[in-house]
Amino acid sequence: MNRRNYGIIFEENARSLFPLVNDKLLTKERLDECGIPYPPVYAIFEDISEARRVRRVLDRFPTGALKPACGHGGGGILILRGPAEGGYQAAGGVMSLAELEQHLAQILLGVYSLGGGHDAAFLEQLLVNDPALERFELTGVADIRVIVHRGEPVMAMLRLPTVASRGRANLHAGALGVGVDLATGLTRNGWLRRQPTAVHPDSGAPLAGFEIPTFSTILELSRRCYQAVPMGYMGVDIVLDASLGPVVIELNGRPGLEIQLANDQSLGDALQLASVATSSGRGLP
Amino acid sequence: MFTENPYQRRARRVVWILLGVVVLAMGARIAILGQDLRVLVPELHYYVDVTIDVGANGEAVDVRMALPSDDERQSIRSESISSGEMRYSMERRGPNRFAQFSHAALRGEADIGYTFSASTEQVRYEIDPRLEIGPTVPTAVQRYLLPERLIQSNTPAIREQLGRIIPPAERRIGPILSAIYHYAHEGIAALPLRGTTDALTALELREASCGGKSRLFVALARAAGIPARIVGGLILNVGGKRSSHLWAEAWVRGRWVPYCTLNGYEAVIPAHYLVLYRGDESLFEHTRDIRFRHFFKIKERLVPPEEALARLTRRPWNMLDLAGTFRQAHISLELLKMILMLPVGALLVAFFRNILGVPAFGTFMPALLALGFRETGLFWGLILLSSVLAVAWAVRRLLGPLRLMQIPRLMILLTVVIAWMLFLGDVGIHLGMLQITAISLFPIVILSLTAERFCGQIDERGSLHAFTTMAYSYVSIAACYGAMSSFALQSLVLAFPETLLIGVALAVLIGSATGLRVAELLRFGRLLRVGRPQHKLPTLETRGGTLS
Repeated sequence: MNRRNYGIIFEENARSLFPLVNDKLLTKERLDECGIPYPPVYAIFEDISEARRVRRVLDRFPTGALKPACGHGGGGILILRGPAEGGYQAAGGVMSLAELEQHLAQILLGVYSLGGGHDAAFLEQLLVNDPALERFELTGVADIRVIVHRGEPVMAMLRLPTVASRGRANLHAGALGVGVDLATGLTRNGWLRRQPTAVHPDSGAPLAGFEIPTFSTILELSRRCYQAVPMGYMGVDIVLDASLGPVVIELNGRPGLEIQLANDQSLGDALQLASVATSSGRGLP
Repeated sequence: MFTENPYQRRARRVVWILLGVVVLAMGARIAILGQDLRVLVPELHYYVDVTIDVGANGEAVDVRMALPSDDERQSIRSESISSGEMRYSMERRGPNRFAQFSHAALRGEADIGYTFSASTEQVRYEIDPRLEIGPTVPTAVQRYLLPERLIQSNTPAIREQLGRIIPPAERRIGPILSAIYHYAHEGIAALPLRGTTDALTALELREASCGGKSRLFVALARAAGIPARIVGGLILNVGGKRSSHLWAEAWVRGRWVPYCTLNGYEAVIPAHYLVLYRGDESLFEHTRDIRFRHFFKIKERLVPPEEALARLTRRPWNMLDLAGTFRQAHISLELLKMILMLPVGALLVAFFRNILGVPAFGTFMPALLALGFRETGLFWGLILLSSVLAVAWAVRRLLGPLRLMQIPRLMILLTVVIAWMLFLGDVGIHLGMLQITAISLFPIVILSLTAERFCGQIDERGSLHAFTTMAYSYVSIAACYGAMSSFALQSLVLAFPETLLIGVALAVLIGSATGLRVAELLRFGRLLRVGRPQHKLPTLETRGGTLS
């Protein structure tokens, strides 16, 4: 972990770029400028005085994901699936308008962001898993994380939500990480809470040997993200949406190390291989 | 579909209950304590700390210091003398008290300390315009008609000047004193304190400091046949200094009427003037050729009124008197005040953040900083804070090339910040500017924490964001400081601690849907977007779309 901290990031990542990846709205602006696809945003809430606007926004856009702009680890995110008896349908049940306003107010007061006492919030389009992922019988939206080193993908991982992770694809929350071979786009075995596993815990579906659709596009998108935000060492999170195709949902300046476990390969080695490959002018194996 | 928020009804009910409790408690307190209500309202006193450093090389050392005395408009309490190695004795001479410190053979340094608490009043005198100078004065004050070494009231120059400013037939005391006062005040230019000036020199040069002007006043008054004398004292303003002050007083039918010819007080002594001695003595006298340095440190203090308090301790219900109870436990009133005012500051922070949308680092940082600025005052506190943040930012940049990890980096930052504050404190003491000496523990801790959060914010959101958040925080800090240092509010909360429940009620309102509604009405947050990252991302809402 420490080697990741000072060995890699501090060599590669300019501090001035961190605000660009920490604030998801600024990230989307940059992606927009570079023509990289991302989930469209319905509305932005800038400060506490806009908390009550949520009702009017939801009248126009009944479904969506309400997210803090500078949130991390999935904290504060509300998945809203339209009006229901007494309020709105959220992940854990029905939320009243009052509760919704309070939650949005909390986001805007910076509760889910790191310090500063202030944050913006936004409502973006709900994403739906590509039909190819149906075999895993997922309860949430899966994503693919690609570690990009100086513009070249060096490792990738498919993150599958579980019931335990309450639909979130975050490994810290209990999701499943499945290693992916960069050359073929085929999955290998998975890791769940630091234990290797061959099947998805809820559906029992086997993990290895699944070919990720449009994988070359995914790799290409992650390369283009380096053009957009030139961080030497970065994690690109991409979702395969049923209608939008591959979209970049987030960039990470400090991607976690679990990807090594999922791929059964050390990042240090992968980076070595990558620099050898690029310096010799050959593509990655 | 969405009618009134049910939580709002609950919130409102809680607010009414709280207000009811407040009214009951206040009523009970007033009813039981009756006329002794005054005991709950503390008085504003000055707390003076005099320090003297004496140094010698083995010779005998004597130091004499004038001590203030009680009179009709000032009372001195809680005196304490620490004489260290020196021997201490006290003597009274006429209207004055003197402390005497002596050492048979002082080698090196000795410290003398004298602290006291003073409460003062302003007194204004009106001289009956018909009063005339009488043929004789009582024996007791006759010496104040005589010339002295520095008050040359019998010289031709003084008499001539008197003749110039007073019409020859004038016998009335009021107009005579007024003319002398105006001459000494306006006719003689003011100079900063510079040694000892006698009356004649002041007259010749037409310029003098407070000593010269006052002696000239006294000389002219004596020449006119009105007993007059010098008064030495201290001007009580919060902070630190070395200089004392001189003014004069004239004897009119049994009363000594004050005149300050430097600062312009005619027949009035303001509340912040403390009398130290009367007559042309000196504040300090000491053996020649020794090292001698003195310093006055003055603070304001809230003190429970003595007489009312004494009466109250005999009553059975005195546990309602918070100040008295704490005093018995030897917990200082200052600490109590701090504890009670913090919720006030926190409430203001809640208002600023939740209603106005003014951000801050850490939840109640503005209130804690305001508390930390008690010793320095708001202006110098903010200067101190700005300097600490600038130092923190510079350290962060310097450490950049080292690529250190966050927590050790913060430890270095903390060390530098503390070193900086100690350095400023040292400079402050030497320059006599107590305002930048926030050495006590609480301000150091809170300033260091703020610097740490500030640097954390730079990491997370960039320098511009951190600096603008800090700038907005200054507004909250100023508001908290204003409320928390308000004497009226402090007295109210100290007398009726249940009023803090009003703050709780307000917090309930701010935190409920009412708060959101008010925030929406005020829309203050819009103004604050200057300097923050503007989110210019095109959204479906702004493009006029809807979900298909």
